[in-house]
Amino acid sequence: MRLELFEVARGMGQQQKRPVYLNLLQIRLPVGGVLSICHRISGVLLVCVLPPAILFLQLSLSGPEGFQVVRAYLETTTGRWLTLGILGIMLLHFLAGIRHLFMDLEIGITRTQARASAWVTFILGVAGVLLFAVGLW
Amino acid sequence: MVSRNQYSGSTRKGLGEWIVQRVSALYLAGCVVAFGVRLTFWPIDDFYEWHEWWSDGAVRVAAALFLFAVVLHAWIGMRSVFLDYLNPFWLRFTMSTLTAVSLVALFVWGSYLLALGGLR
Repeated sequence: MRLELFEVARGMGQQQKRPVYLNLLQIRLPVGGVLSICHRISGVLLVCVLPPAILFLQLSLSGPEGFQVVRAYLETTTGRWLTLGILGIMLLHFLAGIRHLFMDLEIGITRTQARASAWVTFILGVAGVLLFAVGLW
Repeated sequence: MVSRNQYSGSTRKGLGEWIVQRVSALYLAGCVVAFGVRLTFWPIDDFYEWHEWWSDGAVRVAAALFLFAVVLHAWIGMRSVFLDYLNPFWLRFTMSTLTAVSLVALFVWGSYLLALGGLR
């Protein structure tokens, strides 16, 4: 992502009037850059999900009543949408992370391959969310 | 002979975090897949079965390690986000401290749950 940002900055430098600030609306990140941002945002969101997740686990293990409360909540419309959202965020973070690990092994690091794998990550993410939705409803 | 001085300065700074982030990622990914497969193909629909599953020593150790890996992974990830986007020192310091304290608290809470609470 750093490299991509560098390319963007260099591209901007070639304009006649060089902007002295980074105009976020003018930057069109390549798909790898968008994925990188999504990886970060999903990671931060997953950290925010940790406390409610432990709370739910605690409640579900507290006794048959607690278990029923958790199950009933997860079966409501809100519960299903939240579950789907969290599963989707997890899947995207997971897939983007796997892509990252392959790149650490210097697999798929040319620009063409990296852009292709970023698209594949997004497509697999959407496909997975659809699959989760089918499973949840 | 390689002198220790060769590695002084910032040469290897961040390498430890880098490797911890990747090793924890592999463990977390493996656990999530195993957990997902287990509950998808052999669903648990009953409190006693659920409780019994979580009382299994192997599950508890795996879950405790998972929690530990999550805390490390979250700390390194959040720290790099803060370092990149939070420029004023006081803001970065405050957010880093709050995150660290919260993650330690989550670890203590989760460990307690796995060791004692709810699993009597």
